[in-house]
Amino acid sequence: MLIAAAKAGDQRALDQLLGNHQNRIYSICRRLTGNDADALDATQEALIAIVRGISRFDGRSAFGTWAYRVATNACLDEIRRRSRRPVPGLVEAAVTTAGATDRDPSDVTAERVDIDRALAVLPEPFRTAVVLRDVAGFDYATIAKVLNIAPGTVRSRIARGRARLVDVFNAKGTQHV
Amino acid sequence: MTDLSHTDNELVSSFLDGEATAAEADRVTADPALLVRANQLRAASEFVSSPVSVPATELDQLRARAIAGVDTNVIGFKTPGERRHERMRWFGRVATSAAVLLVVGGLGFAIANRGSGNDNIKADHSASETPTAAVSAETGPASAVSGDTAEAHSADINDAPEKPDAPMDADSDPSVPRGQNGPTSAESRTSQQSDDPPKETHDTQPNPTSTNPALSVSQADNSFDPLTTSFDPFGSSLDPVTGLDDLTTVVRRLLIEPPVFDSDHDDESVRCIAALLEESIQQGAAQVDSTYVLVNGQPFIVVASRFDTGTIKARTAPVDNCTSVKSLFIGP
Repeated sequence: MLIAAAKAGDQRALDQLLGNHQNRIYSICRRLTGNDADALDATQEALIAIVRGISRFDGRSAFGTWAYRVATNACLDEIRRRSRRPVPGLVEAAVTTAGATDRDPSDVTAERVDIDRALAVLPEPFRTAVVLRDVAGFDYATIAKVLNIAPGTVRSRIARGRARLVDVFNAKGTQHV
Repeated sequence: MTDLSHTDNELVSSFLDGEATAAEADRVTADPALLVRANQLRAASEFVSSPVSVPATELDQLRARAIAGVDTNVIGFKTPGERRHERMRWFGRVATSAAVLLVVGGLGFAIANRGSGNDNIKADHSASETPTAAVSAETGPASAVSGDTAEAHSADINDAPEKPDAPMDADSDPSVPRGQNGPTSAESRTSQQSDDPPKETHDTQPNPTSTNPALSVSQADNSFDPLTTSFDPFGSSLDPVTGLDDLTTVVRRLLIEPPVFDSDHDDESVRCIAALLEESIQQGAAQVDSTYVLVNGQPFIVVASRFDTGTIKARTAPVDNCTSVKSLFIGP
């Protein structure tokens, strides 16, 4: 078994195990941190934390759940270390194209920036819950385990986060009326 | 729709995620208002779940480094957090190394040119009655900028007291009794130029920099006479400074476009620059650079320091007298 081999010190198994999860770890970190550089740093912290901690993985949860929990905590630590704050005017900038239906689909960079800015509007607990749900695709029970909170709290945070995002989109519509 | 209660939002949100009970799902599908809200929240969810562009190559490298670095205890492996600290230490080392290189390079130039420099001094000592030399002997190099010295001193933020015969000082004011403020710059400079031991000056005017060997005046090395030798490290481009405005311009430009030292210059002045650079770094300067300027025709060292707070300080000294250091606040 891959996990057992990795825990036993098999580097190839560990490499394969991390390779299976690194894209999702990066995606989570990218949405949580809001930029490529911080996401890469956070991802590296996460990968290192996983490698360092895999010997303590007891198998009571799925490896993915454990790994994403480690990764999420590494990302949140990275965010807190850098003390990121929403940029003034962020909401206005975020809604400039967020609700546009005729934007150029090839304008990937602009879209990413808008997503980043929209997410940056959310308080960290809401953003984390929304990202774990909509980016990582976890169910509420898994998110609850990752964040070590009650499933009811997960449900509440996701709902509040999405409602805030809708407000951002509606603000854009109001500007054009 | 934003006037829906939080309970309704939770209901709709969990419905979208397939986390609602069958009864909750029925309630949503039966209520047009909740369905509209469901569409709104779905749009938000789809917006966030847009695919992230993954830098596959970099991730592979990160993974390999994580495994190699942690499992094999590769010496020198750094986490991003550790790398941040390393970068901070690296900047300090680079700045210090630059100062050391400056000293080594300067010593090389000085050794290579000492012979010709001494010849020039001997040949030109009779020129002490030239107008420039006379100004220096009587009033010091600051006379041309004395009008700005009050402003400069009022803005002096250096916590250490400076020697009163520093450049741009008003100590040549004849209204100040000598007994109160110690010897004038002329006296101080004359004593140094007449082979008197430098400690005499230090005894009467304690200088905090005198404890630093690099800042002490060595008569043995003071064979360079900027007034009589062709001291011109930048060819004909040495900036004349006649006041604080000129100095401010020089300092600001210095921090943007540091000059390249590619000409001869005296070992004492290079030691002085190195010591000033090192002191600035120790004081926490984020950026330091140095150059030479002409004050009343006499070359002076200018060391510019920029701090993280945005504060810019300049420190000046005659190239031949590093004990006469003056600190000036240039501004943010």
